[in-house]
Amino acid sequence: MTGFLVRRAAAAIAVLWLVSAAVFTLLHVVAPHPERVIGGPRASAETLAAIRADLGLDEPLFVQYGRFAGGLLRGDLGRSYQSGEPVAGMLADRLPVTVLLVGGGCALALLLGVALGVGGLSRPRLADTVVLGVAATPVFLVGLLLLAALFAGLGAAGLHLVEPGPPMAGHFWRRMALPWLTLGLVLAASYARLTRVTLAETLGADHVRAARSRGVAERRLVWRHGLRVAAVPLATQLGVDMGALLSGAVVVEKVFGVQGAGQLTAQAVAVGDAPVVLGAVLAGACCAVAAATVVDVAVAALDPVSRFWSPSPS
Amino acid sequence: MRSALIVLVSLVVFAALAPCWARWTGHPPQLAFPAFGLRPDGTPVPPGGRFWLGADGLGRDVLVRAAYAARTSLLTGFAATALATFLGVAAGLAGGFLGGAADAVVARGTEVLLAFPFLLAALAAAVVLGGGPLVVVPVVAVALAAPMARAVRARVLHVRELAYVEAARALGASPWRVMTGEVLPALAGPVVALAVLLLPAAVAAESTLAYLGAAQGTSWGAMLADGQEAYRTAWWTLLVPGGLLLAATLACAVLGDALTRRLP
Repeated sequence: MTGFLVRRAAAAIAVLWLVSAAVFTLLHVVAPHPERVIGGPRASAETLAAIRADLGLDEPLFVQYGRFAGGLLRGDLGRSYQSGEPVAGMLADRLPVTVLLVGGGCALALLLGVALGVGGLSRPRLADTVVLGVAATPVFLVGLLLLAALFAGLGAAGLHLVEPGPPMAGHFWRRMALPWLTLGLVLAASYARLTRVTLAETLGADHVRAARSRGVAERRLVWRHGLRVAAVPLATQLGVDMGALLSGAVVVEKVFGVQGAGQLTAQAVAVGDAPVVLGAVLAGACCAVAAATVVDVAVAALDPVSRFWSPSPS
Repeated sequence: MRSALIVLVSLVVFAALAPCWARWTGHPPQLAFPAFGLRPDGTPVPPGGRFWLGADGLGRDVLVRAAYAARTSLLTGFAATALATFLGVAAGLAGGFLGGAADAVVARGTEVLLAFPFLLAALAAAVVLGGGPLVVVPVVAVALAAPMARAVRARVLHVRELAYVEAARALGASPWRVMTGEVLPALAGPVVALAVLLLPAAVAAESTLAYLGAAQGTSWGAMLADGQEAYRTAWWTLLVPGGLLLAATLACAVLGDALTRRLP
């Protein structure tokens, strides 16, 4: 197990380094003239030059990279082009909301997915069609249609159930219920399918048939024998879905006006505030890598065979 | 499957007729008509009369804009899917056929791409490089190439051990010849089926980027972002682009699923 943990941690660090190198490239090599974004369209040539010097854009690239990497290690992600605030602080203020949104959406997706998967055992064709339809629909459209349905059903009173704003400042359920539901609904689809397929396979296996012949109730077979086997693919899928969850969180925050890190990113995109967007990319990559690592360790604990983790699974 | 095809073909025809809709209604897509399109209280006029599917919050024609948006969304979707298919097949074939270091790179690369929050990467590219189609298409394609590469690689690992491939090798065919002449044709079915399933994902990705304001042009996503502001007084601003987007993604998904089921 120790060897596995070391290999897994090394891979995580390698991925994070690659992402940070990509972020540096976008910010310092590709980004065309950030001083024009900061100075605005009517800034004079002297102002532009002063901003360039202030950002250190005229120094050699390796010096810029040294400063960037040193800053990263100290948790400094640079400053917003728009407000001049440190990006790390802006993200740190908003991240708890996003983590709450993703965590709740994830839990709801698993619950809904397993329930629908077990429920779908008797109607596999119908279950497949529903899963397919939901999985193909963009997250923001699901959110918008939920909003529209609420408005159509309850009128303006329905919209009072959705309140934009930070969830910590009161109205917690009103602010989180629909965002959670949207994220949970969309992501439940893949878990439902996975649960159903794994269950169908396991319930025909020898040890389950033996248990059935001893007179164990079908309900107990599903919950006790079937779902225990399904836990491993479900956990693996959760790790894969982390990227989709974070992407979904950005969209859902915009649809429902939840003031999390995703909303911050979307607003930064609108004004071309590159450091904030790239800071969010780094934070998102850290979250995704951390979640994938936790999931891999959890799977290794659940299923000893997977501890022989190698760079190229066949 | 037939109904899915009918829906897709009608959407393509609807998009192809975009200039005709503009001529027949007399409303160019970007032009706002505050005098006819907005009621005295400033809300958009409902469907019927001059505006067949209503006007949006600025007094633009929803029908004409939806048709031009269908062009953007479908063209971007097709282009991104084609590029993703090419990249995915190339990477999967190289990884599965060559093995060793190439395979390790492909396997790890697809894993990282699948777990990475795609939308954040796309937003970063859009904010640094601008949101033109030349940025959006490759970014979406790279993200979608991962599942394709993974599926192709798995299939190649199976096919390359089959007897007819071994026979070709025994007859002295070069590795390149075996790869392109024997293994590649055996991938056609699964690749086409998966590409049809990637198409709704590409359309969804493009409209999501447009909804967040990171992709330029008239798109269903951008119309939905406008519609979210106006739907309380004008349901058509949300339901027309939303319905078209839903129809496109569902039809592609059903078609792709039906194709997958027919594979041996």
